[in-house]
Amino acid sequence: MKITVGIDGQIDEPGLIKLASLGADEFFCGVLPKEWYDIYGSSASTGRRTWMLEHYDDWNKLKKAISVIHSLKKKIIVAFNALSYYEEQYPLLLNFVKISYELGVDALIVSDMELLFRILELNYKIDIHISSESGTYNTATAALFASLGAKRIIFPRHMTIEEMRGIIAGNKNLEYECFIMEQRCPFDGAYCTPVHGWLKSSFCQEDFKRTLHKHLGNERVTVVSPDEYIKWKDNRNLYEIWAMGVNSYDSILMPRDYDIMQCGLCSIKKLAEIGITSLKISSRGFSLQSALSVQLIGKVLRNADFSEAYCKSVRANPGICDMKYMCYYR
Amino acid sequence: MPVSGESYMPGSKAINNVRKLFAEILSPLLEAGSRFIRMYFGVEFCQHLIPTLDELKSVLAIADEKKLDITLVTPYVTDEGLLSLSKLFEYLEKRTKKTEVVVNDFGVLKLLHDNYPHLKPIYGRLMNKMTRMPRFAKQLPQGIKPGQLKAYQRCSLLLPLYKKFLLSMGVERLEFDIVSQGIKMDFSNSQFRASFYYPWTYITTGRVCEIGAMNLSPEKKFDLEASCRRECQQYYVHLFEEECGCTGNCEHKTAASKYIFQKGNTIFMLCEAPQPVIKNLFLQGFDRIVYEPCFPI
Repeated sequence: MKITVGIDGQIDEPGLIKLASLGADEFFCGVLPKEWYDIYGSSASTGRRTWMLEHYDDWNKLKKAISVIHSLKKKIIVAFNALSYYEEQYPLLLNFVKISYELGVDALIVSDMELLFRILELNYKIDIHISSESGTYNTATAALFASLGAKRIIFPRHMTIEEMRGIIAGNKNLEYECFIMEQRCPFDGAYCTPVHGWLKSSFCQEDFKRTLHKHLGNERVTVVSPDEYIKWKDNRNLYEIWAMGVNSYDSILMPRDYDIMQCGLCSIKKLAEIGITSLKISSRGFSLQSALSVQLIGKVLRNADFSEAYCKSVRANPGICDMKYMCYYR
Repeated sequence: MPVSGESYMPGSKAINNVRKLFAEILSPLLEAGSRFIRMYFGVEFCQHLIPTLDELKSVLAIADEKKLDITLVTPYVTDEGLLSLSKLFEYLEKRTKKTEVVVNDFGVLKLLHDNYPHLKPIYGRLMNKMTRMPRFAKQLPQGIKPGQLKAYQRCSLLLPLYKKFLLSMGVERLEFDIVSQGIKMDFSNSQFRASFYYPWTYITTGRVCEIGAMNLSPEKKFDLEASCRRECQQYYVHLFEEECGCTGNCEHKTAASKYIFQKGNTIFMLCEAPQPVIKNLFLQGFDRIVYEPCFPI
């Protein structure tokens, strides 16, 4: 199994060498050059990530990173996985694809169908990976993308191992990547429409006030009983831990947990058995902290001890493992 | 127990006024004699709510009695959901009348295309990736770049290769939400017809359902494999920010919608678009309104 780690312009050559030495096999990143930023800002980005620090904003820096990564015999993938683009964006966008290709990028991550078809028309010898943001939740979707020329499917964040097993068994000619560490969104990326930006935090992390009511049908609503309210409020408190609301992670995470966040260490064996070929560390924007995740996965793979007890000891915060709310897979 | 229209329940007024919204905003724009001609049945957001074949048959009987056409609405699905949908498709395929199916999943679109030529796919609003931001409801952010705004007002559905693909898959209708920043797309000569949903704009959705975990033990909560008790059919949550006196740094608070609701696994915003906005949509080629008298879940 390969370890695929998200990087950005913050990481330097020694940082890349360190990640590779810890076991990273592939690196993926986004690009947000000035000429794009000047017109579309970062919230209508070239990809799904919308903070400047999550990208490479300088082609020379990316060129250098590609050279380092290739010298280490590792691969580099560039994500152009915004959910949608409009016509006026295409000249710049396709120019960025062309530059990436000419710089020797090994694969592109794509979500939008128009972009997928336009890249295919270019006949570049480059692999296409279908983004987790495309929503491959079933066998038929994977078959469709396979028929269009995709090399790899990146599974969405919220899938069970059994669901992925079925899809892989039904489409054996593809590579499959799934999330293993860091940055699990509460909602489904393919169907989440607010942009990150324009608010203090992402929409899903906004600290809204909330009230619970009962819907009796049509326009009839009413209040809930105190018991229902208490049950909901208790559930809400636990959901905030699951969704890693700011208050919860500031309370229960140890400093090293911030560098790992959600995790699937103890599922690695099962993921290998079903045919997952790459484990994704979703660390764009946090490339300087990603070494710990790579190190922990590498340790589990090298020791070939996939037991829950061992993985728990590697994660080193048994309390959050027992809670199960930071697990990618249960 | 007090029911309906209680002003102390924040947000309830909005729900109480959906029909009024229809009567005051939408109705005057419709041609005299316009009537409901079609019933949308099913669910867009959760495969646990896919209707059974018996439920579908009951609704088809009602539709026939009321002389309404029927559109089956489907969510994004895993293989388990595909199986549930296939049972409904098998039945609908045999009907004399060609039935519309709203698809919100590439796999469902492929399934229809490959196996059910008698069913007519409609490209649902979840396949439409336009930005939906409650924060834009009353005012766009200061400092928004013209290019950014254009990107928010458009999506890729009418671009040539995507369009060719959709037409090859039998899609002739695309569906939209009304979004606060406006839709700058024209369907008049696009080869597609277009619908918009009114007045509930969906914002985001996810397979992990907060309210669906309410009656589960802590170890089963928020687990994809756990079964809910369909709490979404009972409760809703109103999300709001408290007003503040600040007029500078809190621009987003005054600009944001006050009518954001979570029902089940999905967050919706009540559309507050004034009449001219909707009138313009008709001029842009929208020829179907999917009216939702209550939460679409």
